[in-house]
Amino acid sequence: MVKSNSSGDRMVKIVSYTVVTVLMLSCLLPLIHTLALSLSDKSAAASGMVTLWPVRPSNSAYKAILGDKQFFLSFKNSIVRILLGGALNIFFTVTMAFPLSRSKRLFPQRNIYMWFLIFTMLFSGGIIPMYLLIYRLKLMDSIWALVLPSAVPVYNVILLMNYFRGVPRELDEAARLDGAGPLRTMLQVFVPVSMPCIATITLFSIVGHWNAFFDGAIYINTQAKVPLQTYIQQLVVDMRASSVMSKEELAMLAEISGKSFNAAKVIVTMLPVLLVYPFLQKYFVHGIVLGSVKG
Amino acid sequence: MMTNSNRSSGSLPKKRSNSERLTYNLLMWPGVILLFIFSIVPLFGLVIAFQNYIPAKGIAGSEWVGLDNFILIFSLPDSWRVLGNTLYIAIAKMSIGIVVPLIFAIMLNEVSSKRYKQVVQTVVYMPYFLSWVILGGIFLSMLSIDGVINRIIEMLGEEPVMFMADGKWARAIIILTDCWKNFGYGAIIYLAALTSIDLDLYEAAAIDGASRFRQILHVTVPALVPTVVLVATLNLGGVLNAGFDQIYNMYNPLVYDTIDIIDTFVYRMGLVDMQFSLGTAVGLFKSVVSFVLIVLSYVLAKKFTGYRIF
Amino acid sequence: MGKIYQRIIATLLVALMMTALAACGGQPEDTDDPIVETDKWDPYSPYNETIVMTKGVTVAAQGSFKEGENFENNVFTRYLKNTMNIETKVLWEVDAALYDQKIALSIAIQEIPDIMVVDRIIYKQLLDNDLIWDMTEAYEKCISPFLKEQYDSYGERLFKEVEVDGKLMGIPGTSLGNCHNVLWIRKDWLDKLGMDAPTTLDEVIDTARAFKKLNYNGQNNTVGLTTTSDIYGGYNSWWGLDTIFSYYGAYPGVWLERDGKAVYGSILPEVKTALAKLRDLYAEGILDREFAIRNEADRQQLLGSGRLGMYFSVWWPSNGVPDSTINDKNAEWIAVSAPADANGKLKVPQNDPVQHIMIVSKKFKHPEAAIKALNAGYDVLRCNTSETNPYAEQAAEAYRYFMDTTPNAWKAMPIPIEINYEDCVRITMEDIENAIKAEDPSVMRIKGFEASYEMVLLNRQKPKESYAAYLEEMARIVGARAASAGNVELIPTCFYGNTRTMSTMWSSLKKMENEAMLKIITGEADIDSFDDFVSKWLRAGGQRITDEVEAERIK
Repeated sequence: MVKSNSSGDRMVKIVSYTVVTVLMLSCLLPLIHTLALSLSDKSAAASGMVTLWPVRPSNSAYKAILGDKQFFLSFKNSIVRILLGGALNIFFTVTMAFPLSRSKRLFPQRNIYMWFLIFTMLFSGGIIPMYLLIYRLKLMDSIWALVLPSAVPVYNVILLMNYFRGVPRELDEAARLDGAGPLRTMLQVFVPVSMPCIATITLFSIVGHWNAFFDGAIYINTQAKVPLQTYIQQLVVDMRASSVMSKEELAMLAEISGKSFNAAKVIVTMLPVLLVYPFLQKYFVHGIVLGSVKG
Repeated sequence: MMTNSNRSSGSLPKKRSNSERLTYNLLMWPGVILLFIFSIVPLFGLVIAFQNYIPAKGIAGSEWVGLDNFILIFSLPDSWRVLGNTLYIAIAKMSIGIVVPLIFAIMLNEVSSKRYKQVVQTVVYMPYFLSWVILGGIFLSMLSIDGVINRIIEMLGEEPVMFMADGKWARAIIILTDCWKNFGYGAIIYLAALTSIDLDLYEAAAIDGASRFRQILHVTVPALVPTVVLVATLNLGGVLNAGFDQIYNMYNPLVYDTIDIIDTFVYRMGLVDMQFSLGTAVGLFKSVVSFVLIVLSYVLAKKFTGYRIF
Repeated sequence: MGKIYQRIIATLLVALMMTALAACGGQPEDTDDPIVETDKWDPYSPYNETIVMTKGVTVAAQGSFKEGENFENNVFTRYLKNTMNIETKVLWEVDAALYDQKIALSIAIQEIPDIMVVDRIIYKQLLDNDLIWDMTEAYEKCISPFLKEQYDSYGERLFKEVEVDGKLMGIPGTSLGNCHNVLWIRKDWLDKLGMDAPTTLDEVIDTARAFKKLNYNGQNNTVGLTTTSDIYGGYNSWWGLDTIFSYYGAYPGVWLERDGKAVYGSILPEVKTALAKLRDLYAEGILDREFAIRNEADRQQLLGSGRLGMYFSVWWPSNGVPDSTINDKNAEWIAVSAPADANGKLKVPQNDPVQHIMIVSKKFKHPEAAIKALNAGYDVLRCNTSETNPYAEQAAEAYRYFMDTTPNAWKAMPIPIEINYEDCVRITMEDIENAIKAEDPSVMRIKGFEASYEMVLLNRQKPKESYAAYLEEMARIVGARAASAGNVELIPTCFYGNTRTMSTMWSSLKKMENEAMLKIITGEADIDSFDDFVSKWLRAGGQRITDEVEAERIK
């Protein structure tokens, strides 16, 4: 009996390890494939010969990126965007989550605000009124058009609010007895103990700003100000060789196929997220779980 | 979503509690103003759904047509198709988006090596953080006729498939790639619920002679049921959200039949065909239905699981 | 205390809402026509005070500008500023794919650039919104004789297309003649097979079949014939199968007159016959199985990598043609005026003479300045040194600078609409040949094509050494000759515009049509489903639109 049990248990273990490993590989393989494409020779990439390892390795796709001025400009724009947008997001998340985490007795108007926030989360006016608004506010073609409309991330506010509520009451009371006002309590008690959650919302903000493409396509009028994902999206939509080209450019065009060039752009575009994410990952599980799902 | 019972804050001097309230209000205002400008103000634009809106005449000068736009929309054959596609794709995404993360979480729970567990988690959460612009590019390239997937199919001696030209394939791909992107992230909530299971339960079951499989069935699964119910209920509000970013970046006119959804339809109506009123009407219709569903889902969630989000 | 706060909050919220309302629902500005000084209404007189004209542009291709130059500062804009004191400013610059979307948004907020180049659909929107000037008088008084002659080469049919109740609301860019599809073929493949260039449809198909069998690159992935997911491309396009349709007397996508009434070409029974043929070709694998999912880059790559040896397009070939010579020095392309019908004719529906339309915003106080800017652009681009141009010397100088720096960047003109003689394709082809014979480019009748002449000359001297020179010879000589071949039969068409119902229904009808055709060709639907499509099309608004077209046509 015991024996059959343990063999059954081993079965469970084997199946679990297999399934988990397969799922993990499924997440990795497309990215590895893209990396391999980006490092492959043009014709190999075009013919679908590349699977998970570069075929006839070549770095010409990356060289081509280095020659792409617009790519660099856009990359820089996106960096500015995540710094500015991220800072705004964190500021508003913290300052709004804190009052909302207080009880109705300490903050009688809490529920009005809460309903207001929920309402804004549920309804939106659509593209045209939004565009009109950005225009009337004279934000068109400026980075503010990309960061202000999403400056208050209501979902993150609720997440952090719930996290704040889980802060042990004793800490709060100790601060009170010390004579700390609400601002000091927020900054010196609540914020430090909520770092996992704040790290999480930081990750969300950065990723959200980095990945947004649609607003860049409609609010930005000058190519030099277009963020990276918008630029990449345009490339995917139309990749047309320009009709006037020097011999060197043509040699380069012959060298790299659209596929490997695009793959290289995709890889470079993913890079910042892939670099930031592992550092914040250890927090976010904790942050999300405590912020959202405790029955 | 804990709602702690009111904290006792001792007896505070009235003056202090007043200044405290003022601080709280002041903290709220900058954000409230921004939300007002960027979320509430554009809502006034929704009135054009009830007009034959001509920009030159403005909202004040355009002709009011009552519900004509809505009637026209529901007489277009496209609208019904789009509504059907939206429901199909959204519901499929949700169902798979519950089952796959659930299975993954249960299986991951059986992995004993902590190191390995961590590696797996790091990898599977990652796609969640990549944009559809990027992922659309990757998948379209992989699925193209001379892409790697067809190359493998050919090596197996089969005919290559034009995935994104065939409505059924395209729909399946939309659903599966969405699952691929989100299953790891979706599993977090279940993994969290698993950590709160009392290990004694497993031990007790083991002593009773239950196999590991039975332990999963009788300890793990029941522990996850409330979370599954909760997630399923909260998802209800999203049945009209089939994923604009993903589909916008992956679709083509050949497969409008099966993967054109409300959001892409509204986008084309408003910004490609310049039917401002019709586009807004469809958008408004979607918002209202979604709103009702969300309220309903929160009520249900509260009733069945005692969960409160705010 | 709490009550007071609540009241304050409520008051503040209301105050916010009022400001919000004011910001959002503000009245459109007064659109009464501004009074315009009319003493400058002639082709060339300069302004005392600088006139600033804004415009929206699509992102320029790399190499369009010399270092340091841009849409606001280039040889054309400097000439315009120096001669007539008009400046150009870019209001927005977007990717070409987003241009129409940007205009839609601009219309939505009632803030369009002073001048725009638009298509008919947007033109109609602008008219409905009353955003643009009546240009009748400005055109009459200000167009230069140089441009007027070119416009007149189209007869009355050009301006009739943009007039609204006898008023010229926009200035058309011309759609040149001879821009129907010719058939491009790999001559070296034909030679290898010992075949002659095809003329009839059967020969075209046989050639495609033979090419597929030839398996030139040895990888068994040769494509016989391909097209886009649109199946037919209309006038001046690449890849469409229009001429296969027209071989059967089918003219999808155009409005024809049958029995004295307007009728939409795509729903006529001839189309069914043509689709049946295409269906067979698809089933046989001669028509590319993947045509519907390829994008432009894919298709170019088919040509470039030697996987496709023939395709239909306008006389200006796809970049895939010169690409193929980079990869394979043996690649040799010819163009033929095929497939011809039993009478030896290649049937081509009469094209819309309007390529695009330049409009002037009502908010811009100087509609005549737009015409002057147009004159100036062409005086430079075509080196107009005739006595009618008072700035002939500057024009000649600017022209030389342009030719020396960025000879292809005509879109840098303040008003980038295309104007030329209707048969300019043929004239230029003859000009270049004559110039090469005479070894003197000055014999060319239409100026501005010296660069083409030099390119063709270069390619004659060193064949295929220069990508651009090879492309130029393929286009200006090989393609143009095929397109000017005498066997074209123009089929009369009757309507190119937009009607009221079209603006709401056309895109879904188009989609319905495209899907029906795709399904028939790919074998997903029965050939008889065409009849269902026709009745469905008529019921879903097609009949209404047909009636409207009939009404507008008579008007």
